[in-house]
Amino acid sequence: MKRFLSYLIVAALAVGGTWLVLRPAASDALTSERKLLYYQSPMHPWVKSDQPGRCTVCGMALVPVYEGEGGAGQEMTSGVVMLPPGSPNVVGVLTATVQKEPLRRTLRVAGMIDDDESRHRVLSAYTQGRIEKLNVNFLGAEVQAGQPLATFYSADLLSASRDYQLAVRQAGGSSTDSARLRLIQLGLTKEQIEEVPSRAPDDIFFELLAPIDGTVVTRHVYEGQYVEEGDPLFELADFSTMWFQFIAYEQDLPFLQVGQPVSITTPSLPGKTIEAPISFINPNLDDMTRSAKVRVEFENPKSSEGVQRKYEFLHKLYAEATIAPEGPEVLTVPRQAVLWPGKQPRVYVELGDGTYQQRLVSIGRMGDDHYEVIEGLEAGEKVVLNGNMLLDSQAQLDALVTDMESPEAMPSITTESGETPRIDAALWEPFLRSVDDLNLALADDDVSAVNASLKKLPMAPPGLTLTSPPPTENLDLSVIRKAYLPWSEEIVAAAAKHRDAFPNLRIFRCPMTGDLWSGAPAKAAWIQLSPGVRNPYWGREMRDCGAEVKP
Amino acid sequence: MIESIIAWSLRNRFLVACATLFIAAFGVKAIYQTPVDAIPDLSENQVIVFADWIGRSPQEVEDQVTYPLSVNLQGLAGVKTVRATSMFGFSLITVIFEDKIDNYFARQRILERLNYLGGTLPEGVTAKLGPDATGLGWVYQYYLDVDQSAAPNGRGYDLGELRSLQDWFVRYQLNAVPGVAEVASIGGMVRQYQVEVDSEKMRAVGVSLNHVLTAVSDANLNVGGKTIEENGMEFVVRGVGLVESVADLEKTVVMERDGTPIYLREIARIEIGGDFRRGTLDLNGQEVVGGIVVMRTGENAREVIEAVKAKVAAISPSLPPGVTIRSFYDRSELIDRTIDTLKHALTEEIILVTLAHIIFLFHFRSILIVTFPLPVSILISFIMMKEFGISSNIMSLSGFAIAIGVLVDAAIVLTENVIRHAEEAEGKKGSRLTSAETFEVVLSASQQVGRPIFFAMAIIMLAFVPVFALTGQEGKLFHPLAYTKTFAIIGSTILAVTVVPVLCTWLIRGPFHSEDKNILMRFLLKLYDPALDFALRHRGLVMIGAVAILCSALALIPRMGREFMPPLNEGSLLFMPVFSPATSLSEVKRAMAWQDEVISKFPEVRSVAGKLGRADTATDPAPTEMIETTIMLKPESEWREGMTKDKLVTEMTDALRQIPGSVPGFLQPIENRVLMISTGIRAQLGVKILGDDLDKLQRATYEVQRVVQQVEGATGVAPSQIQGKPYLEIHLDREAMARFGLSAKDVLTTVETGLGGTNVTTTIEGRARYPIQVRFERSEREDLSRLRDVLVSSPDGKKVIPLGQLAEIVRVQGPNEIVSENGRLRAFVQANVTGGRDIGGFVDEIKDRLAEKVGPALAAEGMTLEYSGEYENQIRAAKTLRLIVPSVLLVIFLLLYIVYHDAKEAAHVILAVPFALSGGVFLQYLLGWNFSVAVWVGYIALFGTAIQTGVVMVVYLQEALHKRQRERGADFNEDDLIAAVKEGARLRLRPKVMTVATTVASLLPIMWSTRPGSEIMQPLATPVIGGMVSSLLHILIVTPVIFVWLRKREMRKAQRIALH
Repeated sequence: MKRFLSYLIVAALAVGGTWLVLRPAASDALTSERKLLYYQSPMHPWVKSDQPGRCTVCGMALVPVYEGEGGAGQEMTSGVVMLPPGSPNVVGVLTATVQKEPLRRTLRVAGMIDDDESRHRVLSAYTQGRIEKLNVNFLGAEVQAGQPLATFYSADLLSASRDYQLAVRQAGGSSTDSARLRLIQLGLTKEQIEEVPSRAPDDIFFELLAPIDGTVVTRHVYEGQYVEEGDPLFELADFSTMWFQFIAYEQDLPFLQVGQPVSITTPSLPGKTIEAPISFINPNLDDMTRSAKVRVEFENPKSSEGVQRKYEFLHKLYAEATIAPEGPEVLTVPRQAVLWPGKQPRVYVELGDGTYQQRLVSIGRMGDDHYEVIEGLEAGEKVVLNGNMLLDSQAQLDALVTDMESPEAMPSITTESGETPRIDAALWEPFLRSVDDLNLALADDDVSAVNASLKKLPMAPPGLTLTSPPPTENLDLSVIRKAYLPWSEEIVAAAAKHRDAFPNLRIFRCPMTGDLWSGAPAKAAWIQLSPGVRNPYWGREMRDCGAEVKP
Repeated sequence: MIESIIAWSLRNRFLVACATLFIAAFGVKAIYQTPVDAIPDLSENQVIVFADWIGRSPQEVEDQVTYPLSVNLQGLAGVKTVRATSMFGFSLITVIFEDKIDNYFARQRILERLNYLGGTLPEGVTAKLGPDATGLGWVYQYYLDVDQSAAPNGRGYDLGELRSLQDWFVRYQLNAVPGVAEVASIGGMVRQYQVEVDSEKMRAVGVSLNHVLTAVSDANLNVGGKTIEENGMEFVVRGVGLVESVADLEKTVVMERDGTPIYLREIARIEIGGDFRRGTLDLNGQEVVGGIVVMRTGENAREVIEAVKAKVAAISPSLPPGVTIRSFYDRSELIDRTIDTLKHALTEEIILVTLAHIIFLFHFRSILIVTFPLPVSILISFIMMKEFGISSNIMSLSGFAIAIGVLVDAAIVLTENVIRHAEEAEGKKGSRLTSAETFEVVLSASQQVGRPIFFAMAIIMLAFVPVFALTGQEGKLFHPLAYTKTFAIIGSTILAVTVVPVLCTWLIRGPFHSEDKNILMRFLLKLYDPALDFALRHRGLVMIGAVAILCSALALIPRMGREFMPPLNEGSLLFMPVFSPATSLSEVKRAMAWQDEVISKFPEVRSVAGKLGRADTATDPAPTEMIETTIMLKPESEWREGMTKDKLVTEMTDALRQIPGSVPGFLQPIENRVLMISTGIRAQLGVKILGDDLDKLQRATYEVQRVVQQVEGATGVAPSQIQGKPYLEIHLDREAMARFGLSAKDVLTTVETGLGGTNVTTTIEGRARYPIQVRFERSEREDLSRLRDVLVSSPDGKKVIPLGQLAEIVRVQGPNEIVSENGRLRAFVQANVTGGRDIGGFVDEIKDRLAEKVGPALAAEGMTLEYSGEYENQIRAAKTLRLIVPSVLLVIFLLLYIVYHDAKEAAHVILAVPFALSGGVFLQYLLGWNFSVAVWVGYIALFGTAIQTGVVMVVYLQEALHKRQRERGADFNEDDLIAAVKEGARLRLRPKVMTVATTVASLLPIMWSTRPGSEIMQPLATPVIGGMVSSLLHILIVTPVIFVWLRKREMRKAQRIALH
């Protein structure tokens, strides 16, 4: 029994121990197939390490980032985001093509529907007298031209008409004419004057006639009221043509032209839209509100419905209108595509295969759904409409990673306003000079001069961080050139930022370096402190291949 | 004294037995009364002050709310730091107090200060005290589940209705549960009356925004008209004018013009809509309404959750048909599971320990003696835990788990000694002992080991003092463990000198099995004898071997990693991606819905609940671009074949990578809360830059970063990012405003009310209250390009001018949130050190370089540099330990001296420490644990035990030596010495192997457990197991060698003296 128990315990200990030792090995196997790039903090993506561990800010475990994920797999061209397969569908990436088209910008305005000012009439008393009877005794009454509006008693008029009667009876001559003129002055129409000679002597009243077809919009008198000469009696307006007048602010005026079609709607006629052109833009700006009145004239038909036929658009109606001026054809990009968080707007261009490139664009006028693109895009390119914010986030993550590697490229507040950090030109000068010497030696295929200048090459000046090593001495110039190319490209990129500091700095680019060796980039640049193309890549074979790159 | 306690206990056996039973009963009661939680509360003693200022940018909030508040809260008694964050529309100030300050006292002081500060804040802003809880109090989270078919109209309820139900019914009901600090609502839409005015129509009728605001606020009130009497009857007069419907608002008159009323409906569209929101909740991809139950700090989490669940069950019948409350996070599951793990571990430990006793002692009644003190001492410590206010959680209960080996030790030594003596007595007498004889044997045998036991226990307790000296988060984490372990040891020591002898008299009866008859002991002795012989013969070789082992262990140490704490497996995950601050709420919501749907398809997942942005609580300062998705997992038994949590996380991470713009990161809910509330810098070094200008600070971070990066050994150098949120700024053109005679207020009211909306008044509809908001029509304000066309009217409504003519509208990048510390804006650059550089030197070099290169420039611009980070803790901890460890060793040494009256003996017992260490290091290396505080605590626990076992060995050796010296007298020579040592060592084999076996046996269940919670205990147990095994070898082989070596030198000295 004792023996058995003790064996049992020993066996148990042994098994337990073995299992404990072997246990931790299981979990790591899974991840080894992909190439691991680095570990990144989920919350503070700029915290990155080449070893697993915890974020220094928040303590979260760092997440491995593998090649081909996020933007990481690419050669880190800044702003290129690469999505894993299937991801564009998940994100719901939609694209639209950049094209040339007229930019639409709909202007929304509001104003009042007024009567036609040119056909607005005020009836005033030609002479003093009394309104005996009002034939039209309410506002809004429709009147026809010649329709009597009121019956008027006036001593002046009466006496003038008697004079005229007398003059006609006396068969007149010149006295008839003056008496007739007098009646015209007192406001009688031709027809009324024709009737005067035949008037009964006890007919002491005269009728006031409507001068035009229209609607009574104001009435100043009541029956029995005594009026002085010049007192207003009625106002008549013609509603058959209406004016829609809206206020256009200074900022809208450039978009408006006489003849532009305007769509007018009013809450009182839901669903009804009137299309009419702008007929007049008042050149007198209201200095209180910095706005001008713009007029649109349109016919106001009478509605056919109902017993009482009335005009569709009433006087002083509130109305809204839209104007869609069509401009010239410009390059446009949908507004959804543009991310514009700060001063610099940007879009994402689809490159195919789940890659998207960030483009900084320069935006011109703004339309309803489109922006005018001045720079940064070309017609036919596909821009991302939906999901671009997520792409932008990813690009920022990637940028944070790259920026941390080269402190020079670090996001800084100053770069926002376009400033680059200033450098000490005196420290750069000797370095650039010796690079120039090296270039010239390479251009001459002078092996000993090349090696001599390589030997004398000073350290890179402060503010210039080069990730590629400088070429090392070698008797084979092609070997030197291979190392020289990426190094020179970096110098060119850095120097290009500080052209102001070096007046005689020139940058040249050769478009044929692709033929130098397999895998060489198609174009490569170099700096030169003297004019004239001296190609260091080709040397004597094609020493003058290349063109100067102007700032 | 110990002897007299033993004697007294033996004489009053009945009293002792009764007292033990009483204590046990109290202990059982205490178990139910101690608060239960998953992990100790790691939060600092803090009070949250928060203030809402709707719609304001972080800059405004910082300047006008956060800054005045934080500088004024600094001067309070006991304040350590004031940390503040200004976010969009929200200011959050965390006042951290010294740990010793009572939290309610601190709250009182802050409240007093806030009363007096009220006047300095902008109008409409009130600073409020946060709940007496932290993010760690998020114990139960639920959502309102709708069964459409059961709803009365068959279409369910909209998010506004559900949110009203949550806000006005469920929330208050659950908040009434004792222990709940607050219930925070999240998701859905807060119902709101929206008056959307059309500025063109307003212009047409000549009404200004002010007219509308006044009209709306005047339209909503009830008044009282006191009473009217009629025929001896009294009537209460009530004027009823509260808005109750959209129609009421539509009929509100804004203005009267020539007898014609202008109704609100003529210039505005009025509807019921959702308020502006900064957070949503999503369940498996569907938007829902939910709540977070926040527990008050220090409450019994399990009890609170149980009470909340009971309340949920109670109110469920009164919810509208089809609506049920379902939890998507419930911490009680975790608590139950971890406690369950510990229960299992403890049970298995007890069984194993008993088994070990059976094998070694083969005396069943004595097994009862040895095992009995185990539960009782645990009960005793529960009583003490209750008194000291320590909660039961994984750490405090782990204290028991690692103490069990030690707890039985005292009883083992005593019982073993009693049995040995009884055996001898029986052997001498030739027959079984009578009970009186047994009593005598027990008395003398107990008294013999009483003192050593007491000292040994004292040493173990003392050795644990450094754990008490830990400060900060690790202190909070390990203090409960240290307390419970100490309590249990105190309990077992008391029991060992009281109850155990009593039990011995009752339970120890013959016949005894001699050690030689025990097959295992025979086997072990067969191994031990030759080994000891060899060792005593080749003493030099043994010493060299021992030193070699020690050195190789020391060489291993730098090869192991370091970490703070291995995280507790919570059985749930928290997926926490963060998008760019520029991302809008709707875009983040879209991403979140997709993610939740993907995660919910995993067969291991029970539920997925995504939270975006903030819940309505001061304990949740998350911005909208931050998603926190709580993933509850099924029990591991239901997982796919071969699936582990790491694998699951990897699979999920891969699946979730499809959404660009964020890095998928996984945490666990509690882990996350702990990280969220420790807002300090977690890197080894944080260079804090304090200043007053955000732009300058950001530039300074880059400068500092450049310098720090060049310092040798610097890694992970990263500046804090301040800017990143797009702002649309409306800059007033004062000249243009002057032309129109408009004030800044006229224009900005339009911006605030027209664009942002103003809650003018609140309707009162029964229990519910809904705001009435006035703002411009959507088409006018939601299109950035039309902002220039927004019409600004003069207060009388006569002049109307578009905003574009009065102000310039520009897009800029601004801060997403502004962090300040003690009233100054804070930015920081953090760094870690690698390459084996000493952190102190690293920090000094950085300080020097910064002082030389950027210090003067920064100072000239009014910025100062401060240094903080983990290095502070590390240096402080190192300082504390450098002071504490030697003094503890010294005290132990003194104790040992008291035992032996010999410095050399004491010193060589202490030698057990490094040898124990080497075994621990080997095992730790083998199992692949990093150095963490948990591992260190394990080592500290090991030292005490190692010394204690050494003590007993030397006692035995001395005893044997004295015996031999007495026998041989003056003839005593070196051979006698060796013979005596051999005899003593052989005698010590059983108790020693037994102690080690019980210790190892008591920890093995922890090592093989895969239940939740075991991952925290394993690093604790690892060094103890490894160390016990190596200390066994040390004590059995090396100690006798050193003992012989020491005695020999003594003897030679004595001989030389004798020769002279």
